[in-house]
Amino acid sequence: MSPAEKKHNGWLLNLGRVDYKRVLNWQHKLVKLRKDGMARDTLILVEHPPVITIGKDGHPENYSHTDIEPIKIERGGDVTYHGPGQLVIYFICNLTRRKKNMHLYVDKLQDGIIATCKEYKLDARKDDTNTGVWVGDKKIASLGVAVKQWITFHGVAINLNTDLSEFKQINPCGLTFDIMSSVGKLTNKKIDIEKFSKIIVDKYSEIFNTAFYPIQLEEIAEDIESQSGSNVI
Amino acid sequence: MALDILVPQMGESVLEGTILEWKVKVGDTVKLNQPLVELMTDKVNIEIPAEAAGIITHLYVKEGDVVPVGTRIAVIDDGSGDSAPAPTATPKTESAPSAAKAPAAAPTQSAPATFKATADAGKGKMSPKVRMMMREYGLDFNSIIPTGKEGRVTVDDVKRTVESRSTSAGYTLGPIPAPPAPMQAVAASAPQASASSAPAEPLVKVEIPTFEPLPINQRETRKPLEGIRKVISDHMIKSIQTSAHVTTFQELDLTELVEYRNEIKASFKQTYGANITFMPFIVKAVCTALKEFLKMNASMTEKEIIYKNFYNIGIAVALDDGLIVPVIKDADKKTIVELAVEISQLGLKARNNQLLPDDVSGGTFSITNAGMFGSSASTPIINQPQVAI
Repeated sequence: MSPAEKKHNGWLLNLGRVDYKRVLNWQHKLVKLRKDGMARDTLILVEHPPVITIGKDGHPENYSHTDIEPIKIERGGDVTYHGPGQLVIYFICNLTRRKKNMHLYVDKLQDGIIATCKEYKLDARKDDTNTGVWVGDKKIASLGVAVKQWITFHGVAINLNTDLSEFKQINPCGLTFDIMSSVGKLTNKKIDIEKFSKIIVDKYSEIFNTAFYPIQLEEIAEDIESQSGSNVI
Repeated sequence: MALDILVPQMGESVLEGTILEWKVKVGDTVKLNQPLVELMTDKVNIEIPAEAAGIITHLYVKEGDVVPVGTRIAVIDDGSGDSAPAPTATPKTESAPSAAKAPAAAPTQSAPATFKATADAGKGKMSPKVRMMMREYGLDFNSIIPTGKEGRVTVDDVKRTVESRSTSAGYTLGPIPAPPAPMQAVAASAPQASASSAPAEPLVKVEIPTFEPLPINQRETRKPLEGIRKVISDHMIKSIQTSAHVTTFQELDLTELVEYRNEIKASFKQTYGANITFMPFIVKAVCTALKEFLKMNASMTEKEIIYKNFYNIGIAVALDDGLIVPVIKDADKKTIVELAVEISQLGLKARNNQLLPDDVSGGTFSITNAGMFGSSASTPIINQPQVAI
């Protein structure tokens, strides 16, 4: 059997631009489904309309001067901004199938971004003290993860063509706003988000040894709805 | 046995985590996978679940404490025999900042006592189903003699205990009293006494109402028995008159099949254009069984038994106004994928009234699936001239 045949099978939900809270709700449902064996490890790719979220390590001084009402959520980390031009990847992943190794999981999330940046001739790196993906002294991707019953959710946000001035309203991840950059800015060209998505899914497929099959939300809507009885579509 | 709860590895640059919230306290009884504590690093927020059911005997750190990776932060006694560590035990990581200042509160008096005593009797090992049954019947662990492997309490053990109690103490099985929340409290408040001393006069006397009969022309609707309904009726009655029907039930654990099917569901549809149901797996299993039990793949006349050396499996498909049984020819030679696609195609043809005579003839054995209607078991009628379904 070739290595490719040994891969796990996963799902890929490429949602396009969807409101943050809707996707948060779907994440919660998918975590339950994954735990019950009714969903596979699922990569969710999404772009959000402008929103500010605060993780469990949120410090009020880092988001006190924003006009947008921040959303407090259960992921790790401080405050961050999501908006158009930013590719957000959530990964619902059962860590019990990966030896419950958070260490490796967080590393791999970052490694996928680094490997993708390489295709854009960007020499990206991890940082010893500030988790995330950096190019030189600029940060292009942030990470915030939550784990329930050894199922991960939340994930990474990668600035592709993000309007970086939006970060001015917060201290992203407790850092100064001007430390944030984007793949587009560093390569001096507009990044095709679909093309970047395709590359990073391939990288994650390799890194997590999982073949991610695209699925439509409609295909799992019934299962998702069964988790709450609420209408999610 | 005492089970240590450690701070897990959470990332290359992450050496410590902050205890955000304890979801349990010393003396609490926890279930397997119940969240114990919420732990936070700069990027990861993780709920650590219980690795075993048992009693929380020690919490070594408090909310807000920063603890290095690998630190023992709590202990669960899973009741399997070995004693819990001495309360003075220190965390494995010497540098745990709260090790010295967390002298581990003594377990509360009442909670562990019941559980421990009973756990010793039954080794504390039982499936969630057994635990649920015990809770519902208000059974004490001590009242059950475990007969399972390694001292496990089995479903039969619970049933036997309940039955013996009902005969010896006049206990009635139903309705099941609502269980008090904590497991320990159930044993203390088992409802035998109240059940056996029910009052002779009910508190509320129910008057049975009578209603005006419907007008004669609205009482019934009559339609002629004809078409497919008549054919089905005749066929089924003839079958009952032809064969002596006996039905048997067996429970199989298909957990892994269910998980597998759920895992491949989406990609299967995408790849092959057909839904993957449980039916192709069942067809495959039936064929395997038929090859072992040849008499089931046969038909009978008054003078002889005709053994079939081919395996054409009929699958009952419910229609709006009846039932039809398309046949998968040579099902034993087909793969799961081929079976799934063919079943899907035949089902569609059946519902669109497009089945040809050849599609519904030549069956050697039939499968009917009442589960799709929510039934847990059914007693199907043999599709003559087959001998089993």
